[in-house]
Amino acid sequence: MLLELREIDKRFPGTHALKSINLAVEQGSVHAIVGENGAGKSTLIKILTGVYRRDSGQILFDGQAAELESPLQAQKLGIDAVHQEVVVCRSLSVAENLFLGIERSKAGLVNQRQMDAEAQAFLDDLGFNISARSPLSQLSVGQQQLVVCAKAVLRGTRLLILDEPTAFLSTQEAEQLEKLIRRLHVQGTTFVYISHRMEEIFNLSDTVTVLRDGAVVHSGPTAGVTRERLVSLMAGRDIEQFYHKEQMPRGGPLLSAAHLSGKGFDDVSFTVHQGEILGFFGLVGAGRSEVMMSIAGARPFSGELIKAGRKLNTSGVKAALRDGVALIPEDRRNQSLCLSQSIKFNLNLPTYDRDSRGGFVSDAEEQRSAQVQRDSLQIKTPSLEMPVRKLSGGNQQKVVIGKWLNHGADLFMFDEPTTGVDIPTKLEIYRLFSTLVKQNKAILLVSSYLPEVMAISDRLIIMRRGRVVGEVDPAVTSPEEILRLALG
Amino acid sequence: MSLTEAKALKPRRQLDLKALMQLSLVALLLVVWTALSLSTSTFATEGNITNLLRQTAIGGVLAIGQTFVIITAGIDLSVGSLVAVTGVSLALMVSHGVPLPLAILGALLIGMVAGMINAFAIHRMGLPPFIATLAMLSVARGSALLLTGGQSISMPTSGFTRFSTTSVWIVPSLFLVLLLVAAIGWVLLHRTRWGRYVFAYGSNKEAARLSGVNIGGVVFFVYGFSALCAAIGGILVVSRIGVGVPTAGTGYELDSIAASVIGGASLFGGEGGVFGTILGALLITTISNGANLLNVDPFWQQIITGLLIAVIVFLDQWRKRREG
Repeated sequence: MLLELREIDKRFPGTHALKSINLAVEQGSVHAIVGENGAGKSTLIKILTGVYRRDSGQILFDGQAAELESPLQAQKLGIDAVHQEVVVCRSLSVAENLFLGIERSKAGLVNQRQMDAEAQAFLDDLGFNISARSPLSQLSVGQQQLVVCAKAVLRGTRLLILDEPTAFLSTQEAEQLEKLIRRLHVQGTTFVYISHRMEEIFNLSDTVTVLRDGAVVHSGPTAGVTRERLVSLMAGRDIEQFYHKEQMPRGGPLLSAAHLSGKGFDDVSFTVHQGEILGFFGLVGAGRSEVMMSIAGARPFSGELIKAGRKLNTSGVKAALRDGVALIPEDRRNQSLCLSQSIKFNLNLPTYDRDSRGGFVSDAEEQRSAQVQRDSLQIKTPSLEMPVRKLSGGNQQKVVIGKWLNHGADLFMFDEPTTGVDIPTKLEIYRLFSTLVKQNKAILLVSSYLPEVMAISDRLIIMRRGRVVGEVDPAVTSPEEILRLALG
Repeated sequence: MSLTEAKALKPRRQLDLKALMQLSLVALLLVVWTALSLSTSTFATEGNITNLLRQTAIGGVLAIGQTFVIITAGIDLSVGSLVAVTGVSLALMVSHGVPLPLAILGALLIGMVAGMINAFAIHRMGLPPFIATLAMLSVARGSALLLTGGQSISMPTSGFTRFSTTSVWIVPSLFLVLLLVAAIGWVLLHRTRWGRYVFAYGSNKEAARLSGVNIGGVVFFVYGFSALCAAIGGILVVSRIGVGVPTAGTGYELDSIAASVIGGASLFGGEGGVFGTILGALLITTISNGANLLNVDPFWQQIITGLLIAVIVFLDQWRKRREG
């Protein structure tokens, strides 16, 4: 047994991320871990690579107790990870990246020629068609991924954790990576492989563990499960019991999208009605966020948008805002909020254009409208002057929603609105959706959390690799069927 | 925490630390002034105070413009050179018979154009502000030298040159100009929506963009305003010394940055203000004024200013770390 996790527990404020996990990874195996977003996979990896510390439980590596207090310690033990997004120094060469931190040097002077030669020999031996001296920025994303794996191998990594490594790779690049993994597997490296992709799991792994809501619900040989069984284990049957969706009468069509195409999505068409919540489900890379950003005017795209009978001018953010379209993006901190500014400021930002007379901002008006939003959304703060960065995640989300309500939009696009938010605040956000819907607004809800998107949406669109692969009524469709469509 | 409980909590700690920093700047200034009044017989005289205020005026005007730029997480290194090129342009125009009011307008226009070029380079060409304004620093300085052939251009003595010697009670006219620019700057920054946009840009450019803020507009606004302030400074310099000198304003950009930062502006953007900047400018001038009166080696002044910047910024970072 190379790695053993015993009763590993981890909590964050508001979430119980890992619930007494027990896991055993055998030397020389390819161990797949599957689970929905939020199931606890990334927390688990971060604990294994020393980024987080576990709250309780034991980790045994090679039979010895391992503390894993830092990434450096984890690497010294021989544990390393390759993430979805390639983490490399783009302006350095392949060889320089490979030897980063372990350069061959004498008296402080590096012997670049020797390293180049060694690196090239190593790459050739692995069967890559890459020149050791090329700058990393010249390689494709797939090739960069291969270099990251090669780097781990060079350092004698014994346990290599791959976190959805093919998420951003093309099919050919993914095949190359697969070949590398098989090769390394033969040479004795142990793998923990995290993926949503069934083909990869059944192709590569010999053991599979299913995580759901922070707990292990299944662990055993891959040969012993079918695809359907895995999918049903991942989905679970516990749809949010505590949220009761009110049935709202649906109004006329508010927005019609026809044949939208852009970077990351192709030929997307749908219609959303007043008083309706249209859900968008899919995996990472499905293209949902890109569609929303395009409709909001933040990205160029081709296709037609018709709102209230009028063809929309899709020339940019300001035009979209004037047309009443509001986007609440996924990366709340980096895309929606001016963290160092006050709550009052953030709540009023989109309205200054409209509400300032002759350019002058009225303090009283600012205060009043901020107060209105704070009361109706129940934003918990001792003062509106407080900088937004001090609020909890849930309250920050409310500020984002509040600023758009203030602005008067009638189409709200929410991209993963409840990530990192605790259950009571989640409920409040769902109630906000109800409020919006009762006011005849329309909501586009992008969510990767199946129980949520099924419980809340009136209709559900499933996307996969940039295309719409299904449109269902969640009230009469099973979660397994939806997952099957999303996974392909 | 329930809503009523949250409301009952006094926001004492967080807000007070920031106000404390500003108050401590005022306190520092008062302490230094008191100390100087007590230790020299010349500090607290009408003549010296007038001198102090006059010396602060020009640097202060530049610093106000610089503050706008720094709040957007940018920097304007060209202001010193713009002082020179606008000054010599003014002197050249007047000595070629252009009526003074027109010449002043012309000088302001030249400043604005330079500011627009800076903004274009930053927003359209994507140059980092440091590089774009560094280039302008060289170009403007070179232009000033070229236009004058390296010579100084005299201005005829008139009300214009006498302006810089006049004062209202102990407040010199130059300082009144600073107060005027400060008032306008304050209103723009804190009372108009463009001022809000400046803070939004500096705080989170992407969030501002997605909230409908005209990002390009903000860049042109702040660099234009900064260059305009530099042009005003250039005109005031000519009024003071009576000549247009191509080497005027050398090093002024660093003082304008120092004043802004001491006054609370953060180079990371999103923070700063007109009032703090004026305090910063006053503090810097006080150091050189006091050093003169105390017969301290003038070379110590730069060392003291440098240490002051480091200490104040460190305290500001420390405050942020404690809060966050």
